[in-house]
Amino acid sequence: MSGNPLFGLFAAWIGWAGGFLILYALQATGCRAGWDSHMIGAVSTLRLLLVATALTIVFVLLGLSWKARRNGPASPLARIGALANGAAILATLCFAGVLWLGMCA
Amino acid sequence: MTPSRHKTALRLHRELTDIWATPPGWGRLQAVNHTVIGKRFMLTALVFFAIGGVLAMLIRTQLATTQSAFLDAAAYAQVFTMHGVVMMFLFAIPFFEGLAMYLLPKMLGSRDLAFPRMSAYGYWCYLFGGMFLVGALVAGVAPDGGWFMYTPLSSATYTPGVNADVWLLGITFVEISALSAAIEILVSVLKLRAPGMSLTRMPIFAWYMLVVAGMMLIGFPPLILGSILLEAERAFSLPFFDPARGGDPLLWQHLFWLFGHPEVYIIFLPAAGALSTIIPTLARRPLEGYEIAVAAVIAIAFLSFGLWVHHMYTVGIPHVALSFFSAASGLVAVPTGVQIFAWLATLAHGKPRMSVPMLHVFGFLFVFVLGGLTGVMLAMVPFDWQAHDTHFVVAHLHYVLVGGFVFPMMAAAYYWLPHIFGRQSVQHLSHAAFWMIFVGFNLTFFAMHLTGLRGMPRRISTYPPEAGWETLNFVSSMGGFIMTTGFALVALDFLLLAVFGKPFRRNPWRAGTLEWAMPTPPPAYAFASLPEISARADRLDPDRLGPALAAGKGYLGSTRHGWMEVLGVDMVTGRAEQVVVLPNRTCLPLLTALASGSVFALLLLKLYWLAPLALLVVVALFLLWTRDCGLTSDLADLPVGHGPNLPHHYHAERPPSYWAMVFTLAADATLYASLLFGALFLWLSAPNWPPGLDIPVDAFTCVAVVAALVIAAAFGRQSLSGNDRVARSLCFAALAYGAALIVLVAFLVGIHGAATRHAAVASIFAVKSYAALHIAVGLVLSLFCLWRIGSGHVSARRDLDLRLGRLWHMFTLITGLAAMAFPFILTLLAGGAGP
Amino acid sequence: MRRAIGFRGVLAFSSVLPLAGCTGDLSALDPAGPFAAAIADLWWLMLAGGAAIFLLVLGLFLLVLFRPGSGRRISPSRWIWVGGVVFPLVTLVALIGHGLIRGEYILNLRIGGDPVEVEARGSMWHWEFRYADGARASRGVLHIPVGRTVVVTATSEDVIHSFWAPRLGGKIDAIPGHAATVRILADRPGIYGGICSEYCGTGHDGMRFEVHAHPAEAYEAVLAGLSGEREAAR
Repeated sequence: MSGNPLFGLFAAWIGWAGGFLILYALQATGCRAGWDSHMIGAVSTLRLLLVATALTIVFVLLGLSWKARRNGPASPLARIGALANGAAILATLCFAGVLWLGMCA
Repeated sequence: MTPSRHKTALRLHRELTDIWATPPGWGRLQAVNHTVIGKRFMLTALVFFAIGGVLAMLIRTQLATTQSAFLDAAAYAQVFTMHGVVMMFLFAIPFFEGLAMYLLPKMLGSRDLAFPRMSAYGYWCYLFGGMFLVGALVAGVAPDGGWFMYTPLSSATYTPGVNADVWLLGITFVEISALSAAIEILVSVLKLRAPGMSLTRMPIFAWYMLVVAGMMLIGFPPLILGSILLEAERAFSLPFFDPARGGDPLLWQHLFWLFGHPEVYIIFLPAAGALSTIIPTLARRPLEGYEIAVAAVIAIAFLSFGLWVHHMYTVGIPHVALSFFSAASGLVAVPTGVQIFAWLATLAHGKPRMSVPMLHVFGFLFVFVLGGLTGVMLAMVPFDWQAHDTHFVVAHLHYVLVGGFVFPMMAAAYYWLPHIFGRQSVQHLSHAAFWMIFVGFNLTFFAMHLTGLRGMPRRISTYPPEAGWETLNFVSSMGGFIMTTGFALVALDFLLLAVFGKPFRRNPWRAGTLEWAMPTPPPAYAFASLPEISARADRLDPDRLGPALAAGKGYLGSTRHGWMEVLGVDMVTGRAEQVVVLPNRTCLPLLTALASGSVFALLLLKLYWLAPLALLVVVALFLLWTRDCGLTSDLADLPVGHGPNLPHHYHAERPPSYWAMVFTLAADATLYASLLFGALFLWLSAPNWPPGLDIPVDAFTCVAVVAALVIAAAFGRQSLSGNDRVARSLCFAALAYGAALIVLVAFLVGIHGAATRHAAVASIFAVKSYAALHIAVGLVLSLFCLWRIGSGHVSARRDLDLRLGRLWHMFTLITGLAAMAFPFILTLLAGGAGP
Repeated sequence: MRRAIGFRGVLAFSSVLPLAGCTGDLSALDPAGPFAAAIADLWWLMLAGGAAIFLLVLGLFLLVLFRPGSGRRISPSRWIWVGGVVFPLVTLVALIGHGLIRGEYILNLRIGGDPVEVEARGSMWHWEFRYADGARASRGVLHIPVGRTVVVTATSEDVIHSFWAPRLGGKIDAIPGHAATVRILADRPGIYGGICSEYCGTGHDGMRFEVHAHPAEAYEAVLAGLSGEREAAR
């Protein structure tokens, strides 16, 4: 599948969607398990976990788009892929709330 | 045209028409042609649009004054529910499917869609499903819980009648049609194009439809799953949504909106694709920013799956989780902005000409931008806490859907009606009709924003005078009647065009896309021969291409064996790689749809023992479809008029049906993932967990089924080294499937009582039933392959049937393993982390 | 050009359409407490911004349509990148940030000491309110003290309802098996309207309630006069 040039168009976005689901599921599971009241220093375990996950997602997307850019020749399809990947990386802004918003309320 | 060229063209026209045309009279029931099916979809959708419009007028009559006694609350509930259902499921989606079916082959330089019989089947399913729903309305038993059917209101306790079943079964039936259309569109766009048309040379409309079809493939399965689970709760008391027995009403909301929000973009994007085609033609300049527009469409597709919870801000989800969805809902406006500014840039650098479609483009921009802005407002969590479920939301969604779909589709209609009828508009009514709709619409729905902010909730049938909503509501109602008159004028205008419009020779808009490089109205075969594309396919010259293609100068410019031939290309580069021979007209789609309809009808009548028999008939009929598929002897590569000879698609490595199987499995996997996540969601969120009864974990069943599946997959995968050996392997695979099925069904029978007592057991029941169903299909496929070997359809060069089977066996193995592991995981979770 | 006049006339007409009068017992635009006021402020801010953006986009469209060539000095890619990417991105990130800050403010705001906790229990088709863990109850009328944050926990006995007192704060769905909360506050004593805003069957229209806001001393007296939950249910 990753050999298919079509995959390069969607790679970062698929990563974004997967990351989105993981974050949402982690948040819900963490609230259920009470990780939000378990503190490490001044920050709850759950927040640390979510921030770490969000950062990981950003790095994975950067890696994916870097790889796609390096592999592809400068064809129109590769240019569309680069734009789409860039948009997916920008869209990780959606996860910024994990830094400061109420975790379980 | 020279006389000899003319003669060739005429002869070719006659030969191709004999092969491709739909016969008159009763023969129409055999139609599989994309032009015919596309027009049927659009016309039927317009009839449903009229029905939905009448329902809207009933709503506006009811709300025009305070304390109205026009409809009682129960009748009003059916009316507003059906208005939403009809407009969303029976008008919007089928209409753009019809438009896409009609246009795509013509724009892509092909003669038909990849699976003509499937389009016909999809049409009949849509028609019958729609008739179920409208029939229920006439009989007074229509769905009445709102178009999103929230449980527990729609559960058996609070809707004991058949109303909710009509929704669940009717909509699922229509969704099957939509899914088959999605697969059809995906494969057709990816594989059936003119040679040389690489992905990035496609007309932009094809990109939009490619993305939309992909979204449908992933977006519809959650709703189908939700409908199945809710129907199972209503019919068999499996408590997926009942909080007293470990279910959760919120599960329904998640499943519904996981479909429901992408749905809005699924409806908007085809309209945007039409605009991206129309605006450049009217601006006399190719679309600016083709590449960034494609990237924007991809971005919308993914973002639209990340904002479903913005319909659920008021259910008590923690703020940080809401922030993901709020941000995604806001950010989705960026790629929408990219498209709008791509259109503006095209107009700015072109020489725009005033015309009726342009008037509707103006209507689109005015209305849709307002709808988008209120959409961003509603994406803000605190504002939504006030505006949610008020008439503000009603106003917003109509601005988005009418602005984002109806106005663009009217632009599209005025633009492409000359193509359909071969006649041009005489324009007497067009302007008046537009202004009536435009003014009426804004009167109706602009006022409604304020009605909502002043506190009027959705779906109330009466309100007291002291609420202070009467003036605004009266304005809305009057606006609504003006708008309806406008739509009636548009209908009349279309009729006048069809009957009295003035004929034209070719390409009235001076467009640069391929659909105009053919006679109008279009012949059944679309192109007498297929073009070679060497530039972006919205910058072509139809006036030069058309006559050459009609004279058979392109690919496949002659007929053989009465075959319906098109070219299959490499999906990225557009290099021609196979000759795809399509199946011809037949009554089978109609019969199969009738049989499928009877399955749903039997379920509706609660004849649960007869329904499986009808299902067997459906399976048998589908197997009959394959009689015309494939080859009974190996063929040499076929000449196609230019370039090297190409293999028949049955000899090709990746024919269309292979991709159809891949996409079907993708949709299937989405449904399964939704089911597994749904069960985990219940563990996480539902009250009354952990269950007060033992979760049935039967190690013997699991081990036996896993062993059988591994055996089946191993034998089903056997590569071809002689028909006898394969046949023997397939027999073993079939036996293994049979054994697995027996063990699994025994297990299901054993737990069905416990399944009605708690959602944990019910979800195990659902997951294992899914596995059982796939095992049953695996069994049928193994036997089918044996039949194909016996009938001489299989050889070393003709192993497509076996390869399709192999895909299924692998999928069944993987999903089966997950299904067998599932009860253990659930036990671990429910036992361990329970409160 | 005749058509041009049509375009503009309608534009002028519909932009001045009804924005008059924002009063009413259930009007979210007539806030009577800090929660509803914070949301109403957000609305007015977004309305102003939205109107400006709408006029800008529509103006550009009409400009390039009726003054062909006027947009040609700007290159197509600049049109798209500035108008379609940079501008919306900056605006939206600012707005989303603002919306989240305001949401966090509303979720954490405490006025007048410890919040008062009440339970709103919806059933087809009326509301029952419980105070002090069910020791006191009232039907159809929610009593609250003035100037103190009230946390309403909503739940349901049958289908989904939604608790909404627009002048005092946002709404919260009452879902069977769940208990979600919303904060409301009244600045002044008085009677405020409330209504169920999730469709809940044929009695949905009539599922109204009132919120009576009392000064602190009077509130205690009113509560003391209420009976327990069983009597209220009669």
